[in-house]
Amino acid sequence: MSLPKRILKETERLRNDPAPGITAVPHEDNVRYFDVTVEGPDGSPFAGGNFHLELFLPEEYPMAPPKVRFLTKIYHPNIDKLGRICLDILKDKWSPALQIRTVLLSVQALLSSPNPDDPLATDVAKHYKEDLPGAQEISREWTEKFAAK
Amino acid sequence: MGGSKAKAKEKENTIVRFRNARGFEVGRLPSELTKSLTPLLDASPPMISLSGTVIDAPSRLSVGAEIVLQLRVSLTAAAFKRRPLPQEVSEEGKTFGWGEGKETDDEKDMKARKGGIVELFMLCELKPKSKPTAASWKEEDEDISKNKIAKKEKKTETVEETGEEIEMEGEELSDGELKVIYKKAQSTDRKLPFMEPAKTFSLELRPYQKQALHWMYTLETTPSYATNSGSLHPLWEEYEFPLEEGKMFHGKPKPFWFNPYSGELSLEFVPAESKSCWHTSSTFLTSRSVGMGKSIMIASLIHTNRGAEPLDAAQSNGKPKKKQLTLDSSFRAVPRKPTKPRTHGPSATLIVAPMSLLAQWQSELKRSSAKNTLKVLIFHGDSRGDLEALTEIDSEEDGVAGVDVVITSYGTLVSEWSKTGNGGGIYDVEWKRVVLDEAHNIKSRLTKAAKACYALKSRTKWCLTGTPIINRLEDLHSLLQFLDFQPWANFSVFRSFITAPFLARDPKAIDVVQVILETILLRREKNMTDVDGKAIVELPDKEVVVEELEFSPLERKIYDQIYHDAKTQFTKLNANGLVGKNFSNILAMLMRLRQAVLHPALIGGRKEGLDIEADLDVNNLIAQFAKGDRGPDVGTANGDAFAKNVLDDLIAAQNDDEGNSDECPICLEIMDPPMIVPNCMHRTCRDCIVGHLRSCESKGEEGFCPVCRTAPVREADLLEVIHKHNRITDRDSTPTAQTGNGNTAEPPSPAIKFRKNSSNTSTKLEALSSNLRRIRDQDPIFRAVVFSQFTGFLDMIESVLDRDGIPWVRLDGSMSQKERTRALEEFAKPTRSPKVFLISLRAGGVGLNLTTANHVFMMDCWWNASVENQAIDRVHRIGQTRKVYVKHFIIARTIEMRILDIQKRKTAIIKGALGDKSEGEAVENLKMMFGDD
Repeated sequence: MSLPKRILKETERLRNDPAPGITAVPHEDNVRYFDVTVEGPDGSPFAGGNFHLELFLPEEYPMAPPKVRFLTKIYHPNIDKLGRICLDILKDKWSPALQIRTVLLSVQALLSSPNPDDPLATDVAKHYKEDLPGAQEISREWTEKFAAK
Repeated sequence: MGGSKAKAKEKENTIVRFRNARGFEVGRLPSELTKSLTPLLDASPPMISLSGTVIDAPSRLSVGAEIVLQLRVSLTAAAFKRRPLPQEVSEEGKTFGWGEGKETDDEKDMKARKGGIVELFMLCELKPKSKPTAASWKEEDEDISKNKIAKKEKKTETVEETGEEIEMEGEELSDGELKVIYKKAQSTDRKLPFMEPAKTFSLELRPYQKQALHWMYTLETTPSYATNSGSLHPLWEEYEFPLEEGKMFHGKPKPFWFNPYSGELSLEFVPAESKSCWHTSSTFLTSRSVGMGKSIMIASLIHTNRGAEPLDAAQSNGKPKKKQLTLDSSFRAVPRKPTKPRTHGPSATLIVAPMSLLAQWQSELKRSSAKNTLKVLIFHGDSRGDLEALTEIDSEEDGVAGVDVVITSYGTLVSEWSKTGNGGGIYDVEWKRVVLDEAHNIKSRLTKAAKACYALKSRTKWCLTGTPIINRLEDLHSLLQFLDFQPWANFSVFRSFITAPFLARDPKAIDVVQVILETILLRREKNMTDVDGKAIVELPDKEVVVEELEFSPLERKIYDQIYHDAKTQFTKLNANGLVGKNFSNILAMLMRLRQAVLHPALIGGRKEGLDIEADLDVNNLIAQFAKGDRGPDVGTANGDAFAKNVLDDLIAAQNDDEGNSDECPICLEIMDPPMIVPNCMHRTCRDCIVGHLRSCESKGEEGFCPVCRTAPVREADLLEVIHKHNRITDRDSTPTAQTGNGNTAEPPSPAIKFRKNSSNTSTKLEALSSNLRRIRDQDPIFRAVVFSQFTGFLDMIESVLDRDGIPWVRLDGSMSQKERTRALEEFAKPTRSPKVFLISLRAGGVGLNLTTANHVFMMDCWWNASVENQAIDRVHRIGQTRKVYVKHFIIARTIEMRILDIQKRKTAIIKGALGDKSEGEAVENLKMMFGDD
């Protein structure tokens, strides 16, 4: 199976013109598998952190969404212990017009604006809902602990 | 009683008695021997005489005693007198033939005689020295022309004998050697001398054409020329008289010839056609690959061998000889002027060609002639009247119409033939020369065209064809009949010696064909070489690609349904044994399948263009949108800013060289072709959006715009953006552009259009479209030729080309001669835009010269590959300077693959007959041919 041109193009653009605070580098032995880092957005409890993710483009891509997972532990209502992300565009709201870059920007945006109403990590979500400053504090702690640059 | 000489004599039934020297009958010959001898003795005059010498006899004779005799059998002089074949006696009896029906007494006798001689030869252990197949020919023997036959025949200095090397070879030949025959013919060709055409011929001939000219000229001027080709008649065998013991025989044993099929004997060499029948030089000229300049060769012949009688030769000034023929009277059906007594023989040439080629012939003849040296008239359709008027004026002037060449079409010929009841018109004239171009038009001997051609009176006859055999060996027969090439022109002879053995899978049949062809056929192939081993024609390369395409799921579904229906129907018919009766039905089913492969909408015989046009009303709305959008106020519901921008973009992009250079949001490539989601005006490539919508569908979701998620979006709603860059501006005014659709009639709108993406295109259409666009990217003024058998499909292609903004012209069977000519001119005209020539395979597959193009697209498969090759050779022929790219579109897993198989079989027939085969392949081919019928 030859690699769709689109993937090559995206890879090249990510390298030549990276989105601020985001890197995505394909594995040498599997160009569909990317090592991703996302900087925590300023003004969020994740600021200053450097989060590692993995991103995999399935065979059907771009007709199917990429699979994205946090490798770095993170305290976030929409990201569970295994690093799975609850983001609509990664699921039913995927569109082939989206790209790796837009996906990662969405992930970055998710860090700025957690959505505890649609939780994946229910305990974190509950914490966020009941005690936002306390929860954010833990998020900050985790960021320092696990996502330090 | 040694030495008693017995004179053999009387016979009663099959008893032959012998007498002693004193005249007493002393005994009779054993009946098993006499049975075969009696017919020979019975013949009047007897063909053999017997004499015997007693070797051993009982000293006393008694009833039942055995006498050992040495019998001497002599063939009498009378035996060598040629008897006419029974077929020639019963000239009209076309239905009569060997191996069928009643035998006449003559025939019975002949059969018995034949059997007798065969038997006799067997008893005497006389074996043929050589068979006509000439397998004995060997390349290294070429120069050692020990050829007895050549010595006996008066040898013309014009031909190098490369005949059989009789003495060096054994009697039998293996099938593998058969191919030698053809090589032999070719090698002779190579050595043909050159001949310069007459001065009035203004073109330079290529070397091989000069050879051909010599060959043709010699054939026309010396009728027996072909007999010198040195080949034994295919039905004859050569024998040698056995040496008589005790007698000195000086020199070589004398040969004689025997025809085991008719029982004829001959002391003279029997050349490959019986001389007695060689009234006219009748010949074929074929070139397997067209584009070899057949017409030029004929033109040079017309120039070189002009006028009729030696009388004319006196006027040796360079002036054209006035023709004696008065055509005015000839072309008027009634009333006929009393023909003047002709002091000369006929001098005019009649060329019969397919309608589409008439103009080409005329221009070729014009091109090849010095000014005013050749008067050419087209006798066809409307111009018939003109001709009459013209010839009349001429006749008033000087009483003669100086017409050298008359060109007519098969159709005209047929109508003349039926109108005049085989007399009058064209048939009044005795032609000097009749030339059938694309002579395979008369391949069926029962058709009117064939009969009309047979009825032509001419001194010499020529057939030009690239495919002497199209379907069956019988195809060849019709040509032979036209040429009056005896004895093969007789259908029963042809069938007995060629068709029947061929059907019996006897490869020798092909042999016979080869020998026939060798004498009267000049074959030129592009890959032949001349004396120096150089290719006689150097043509640029040809690259043939078969592109196998996959149906879209919908097309597959439709096709499978049709296929399933057809198959069910066939199986039913087959089970009831009704296949034979419903043959046309089945053919119709096959036709449907072949059309379904091209485009499902072709089924049902829809003639008009595709719904691409029908959608235009929808498109027009959008086009309005586009137009209106330029103004300050937008009257459309969706005239939001974004849509405006998109349209502005489009219009701006239109002015760029490359058209729209936007990137597709899905594949990140330049959109090809760009499609618009109607509600939000977002754009993507067709394939991308279609893939996206299908994946939505498969997930059970509603389709949505990939960019903005507007839903619902259906495939059929999509609009394709069509940029029209290069149109032939005056196209609408040329009649060649068979528009027939509203598209071209529209007023010039902004050069952007939208086309609804319905199922109206098909895999093949899109494949063609994308190929053409790719070519255009590389060569903005490319010329391509597109062939299809179905004019309905050509209509669709027109629509697609319109959509893509590629100018086109068209040629099909419904067009008049004038329209065709104009189409050809239009295509040849140099312009700064690309051009595509849409040609119906039937109407334009032969003869046309389209060397301005170097791309060929075959949209469908014809049953016969040679027809396709002919079509390709419209482009790949002399005059072509660029590499030729040929693309065949085939849809995988459809009937087209099977057609290809059939094509292979047909090619096998032709290859077999023309001798162009490798060893063992002949038998293989035969198996293949008969394997599944």
